[in-house]
Amino acid sequence: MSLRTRLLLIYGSIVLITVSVISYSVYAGARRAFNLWTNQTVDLVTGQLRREFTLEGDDLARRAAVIASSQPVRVMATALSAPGGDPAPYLNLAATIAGEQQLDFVELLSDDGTIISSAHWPARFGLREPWIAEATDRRGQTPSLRYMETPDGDQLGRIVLREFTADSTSNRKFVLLIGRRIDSAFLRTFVLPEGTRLLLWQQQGSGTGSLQDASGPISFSSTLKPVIEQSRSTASEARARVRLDDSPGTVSVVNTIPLMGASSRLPLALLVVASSRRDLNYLQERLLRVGLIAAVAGIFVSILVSRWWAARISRPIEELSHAAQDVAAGNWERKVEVRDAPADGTTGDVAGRDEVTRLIGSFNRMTDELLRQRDRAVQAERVAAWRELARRLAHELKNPLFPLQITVENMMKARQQSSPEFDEIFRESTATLLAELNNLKKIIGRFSDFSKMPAPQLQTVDLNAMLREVTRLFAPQLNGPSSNVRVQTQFTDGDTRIAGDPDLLRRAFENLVLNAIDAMPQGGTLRIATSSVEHEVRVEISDTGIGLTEEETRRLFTPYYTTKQHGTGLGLAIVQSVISDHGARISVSSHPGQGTTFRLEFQRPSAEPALASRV
Amino acid sequence: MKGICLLLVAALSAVAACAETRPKFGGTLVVGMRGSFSYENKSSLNADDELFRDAVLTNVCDRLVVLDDAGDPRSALAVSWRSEREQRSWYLTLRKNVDTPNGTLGAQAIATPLALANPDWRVRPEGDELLIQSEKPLPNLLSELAEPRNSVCLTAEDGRWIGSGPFQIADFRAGQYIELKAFDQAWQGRPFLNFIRFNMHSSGAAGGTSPTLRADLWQNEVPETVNSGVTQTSDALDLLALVFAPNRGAGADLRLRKAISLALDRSSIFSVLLRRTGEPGASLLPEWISGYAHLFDQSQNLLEAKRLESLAPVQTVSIAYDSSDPLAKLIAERVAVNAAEARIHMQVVAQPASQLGNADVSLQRVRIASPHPAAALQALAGLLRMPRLQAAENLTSAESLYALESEALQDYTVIPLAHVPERVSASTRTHDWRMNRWGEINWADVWTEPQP
Repeated sequence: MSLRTRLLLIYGSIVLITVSVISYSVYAGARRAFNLWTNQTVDLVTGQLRREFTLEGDDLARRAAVIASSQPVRVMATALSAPGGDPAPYLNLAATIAGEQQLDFVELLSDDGTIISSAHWPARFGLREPWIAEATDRRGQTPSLRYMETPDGDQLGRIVLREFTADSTSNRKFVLLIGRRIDSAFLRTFVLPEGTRLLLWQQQGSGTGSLQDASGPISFSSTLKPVIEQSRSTASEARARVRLDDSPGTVSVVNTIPLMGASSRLPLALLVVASSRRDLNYLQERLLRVGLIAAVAGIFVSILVSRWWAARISRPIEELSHAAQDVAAGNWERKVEVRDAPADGTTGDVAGRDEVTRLIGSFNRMTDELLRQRDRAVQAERVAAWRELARRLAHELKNPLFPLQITVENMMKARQQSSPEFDEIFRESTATLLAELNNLKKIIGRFSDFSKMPAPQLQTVDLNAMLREVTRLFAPQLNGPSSNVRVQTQFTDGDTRIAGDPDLLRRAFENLVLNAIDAMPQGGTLRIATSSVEHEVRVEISDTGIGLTEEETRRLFTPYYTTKQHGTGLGLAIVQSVISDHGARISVSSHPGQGTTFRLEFQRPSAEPALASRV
Repeated sequence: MKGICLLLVAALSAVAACAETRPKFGGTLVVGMRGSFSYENKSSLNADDELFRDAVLTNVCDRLVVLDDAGDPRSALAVSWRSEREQRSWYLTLRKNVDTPNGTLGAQAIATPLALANPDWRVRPEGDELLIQSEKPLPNLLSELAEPRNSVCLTAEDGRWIGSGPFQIADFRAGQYIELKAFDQAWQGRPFLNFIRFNMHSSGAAGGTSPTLRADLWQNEVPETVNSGVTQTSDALDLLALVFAPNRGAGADLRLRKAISLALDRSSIFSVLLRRTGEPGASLLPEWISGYAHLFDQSQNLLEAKRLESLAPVQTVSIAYDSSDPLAKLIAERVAVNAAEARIHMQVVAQPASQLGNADVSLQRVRIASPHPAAALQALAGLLRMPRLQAAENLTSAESLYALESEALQDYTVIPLAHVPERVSASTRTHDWRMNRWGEINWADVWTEPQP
């Protein structure tokens, strides 16, 4: 993973974590605030319910007092107190009272609970309500909860009982029952804060009960069951957080208020205050959405900034890396530009700058030093080469000079002595002189050839054909009676044509074959092989001779270095020069006693333009 | 001189007094009646619709025979009659020169509607007489001919009824009103009133700006906010009965039907809901018509009802009542309360009169249109779909009628509850109106004072 990528990841992660932490903090804070607000709302509505219940009870008690003392009721009581009183004319009296007083339940009953008139079930006249006679509070003060029988089934209501007589002197007592239903209409009388619902739960048989809100019956949410069961079994308020239906965003905080009957141990019904968390959910969603958008935007921006920043930081390092690769490849002139460098082209004083700039300065100084070192080495090598050349020249020239000197001294001695054999000595000496002079001319010619290596004249050369020609050239020598060298050729069937100078290449191959033969004085195998690999044509010329040491192998192509007793040390130097001029590579692998292999790698003609340009 | 003056003053006063009570021609009598009668559709009528229909029929059309207050036949379109073949053939001599708006009423025109209304009869003209024949004796033919349903009504080209009665239909709007106009050529003479307008209204509409409040005469339902001048009631006439849908639903079980019958507390219904008008009873015919209604046991027996219920337990029995009748609602609910005492759950449902048969049991109010027991019983049998009773013969004596009625009620498919009277109230500007024992009003004799 590159430095830039790593920097990018680090910066991105930092931004992402920061945004996440901030978003979560805001989210959690809002959540806490809404929870607090929701609980306060539930408390508020619960308190309002209690007050409304109290007021409703007071209103029922007041109305009971008014109705019981009203003229029609007094008339009825008077008429029925008389012996043989007919209740039939008062059948609709309860319904009339209910209409006037806006009550849901009105019944006029005898002391024993016999119904005289019923507003909510007129047809029940004459029947008896046993619980009326057993009721303890018939003063019309305290409302109680009770399920009232109606043609539509039992309905929950708040009931007030008030005992009355026709007048103070009458002994016959009557009972007035009034009340209001606790149902959807009752729930509608409450003004609730937005997002708050009031539900009424009623037990129905052994089932889970029924639930209704201000609009009517609603489906019972099973999530309510635990809190309802808790409140019902303990006859106390309970609070929980539930989802009232399957639609999203309807999680509510509910508070149950048990509605106790007059004599029951368990509540007859439960009022359920449900404060919706819809707004909270909405805010949470908004926060989440904003957080996500901010995170995405942050990541996007962080990527851009990080890319820019990472590029700003990593670019010099990358340039340094590339420069180091170039230097490793031999380009010692490579320099890394220093940012904000002086306009004069110098790297300036980087001592007081950042580490990267100082590193670039050091790198540039290092390459400068390397260049200077190389120049010094080249100069030293050149001096050494000249010394070697002088030594070789001296060595080569010294050998012919000594016979020349001896011959000339012999001739002078013979002349001084007027030897009769002077003519013969003179003839022999001049022949020797001429021979040694020729020898000197040859030596000088070889040095001259090395110094005047011609540039290759490129044309298409088939290496297979050229090597076969070279092999044929040495055939007489190799096939002679004194030769123990066996030739083995292995030419590829592939295309071995390259762009090259046939004369120079032939000289190079001949030199290599000759070296191989020289390396096998005791005989061996000369192997010449070609192969075609992708864009290259390879030639291998190997022998099974005495081989070379590692030092010899390393210095093999150095001019004037030779392992032969009479070699000039220029043969392989010339071969390397020719091969290099063809854009090819030559390498040697050898082990003492195991022979030597020269491997030449030529580019195919596709490299021809490069060669041509070189030409 | 002083005496002469006093005599003159007294004479003038007497003339003036007579002038105040002397009938006046003209004017419109507005009648408020409950119902939604459509004379184009004679089927599925409830008692209110029947009352409405009968009021229109008896005004527009004439019957061959009418009954006097004692229930004896009197001549109308038929001036005389005789029977032959043990009352299987009846010859009725028709009144001559009886006009209708479409011309003189002939014997054939009379025969056709009678034959349509009585499929068991063969009716044909025989010269000036009308011959009515049947395979079985027709001892009660004259009483049956006096029923409004046997009014001789013709159908005009526009579909309206026309006849020889004192009034003819002038205007009609279904569900709202029927307006009758005096027929000047009526053989009985022109009625006093120019128009009678029957306003139809549904139950509970008698309040506020309802047209009923502007009526001169209210039949059966009088708005409590109106101070009526005079109220008359007929004898107990309409039958209130529970009618089970035979062989269907919960009512298919005889034990259950009997259990419900035994659970009924008719006395409470009579004393409280009916305010002691009419008479409670377990018979089809009221006491004043049959004379034997008291023989039917109407006592409540909850123990036996519970026992029967335990033998035939059912979930719920639906009981339907005419949604336009407020009294029916109370009675149906009371029946449900009584049934609940016997552990039978009845669900009370309001239905239009034409759909009462959809429930397990329905509370029906059936109008008895004849004071003659045999005719009334057979008419009820037809209305309550009691085919065996309807097809019964030998309806001549009270004993045979009692036996037939007892037998008909033994399967408890029809459970009588009570008989209730017709009730009519009129304003003080309506004069000379009178309702007989079976609820008919002498509309042709009624006159009204002009509006102040």
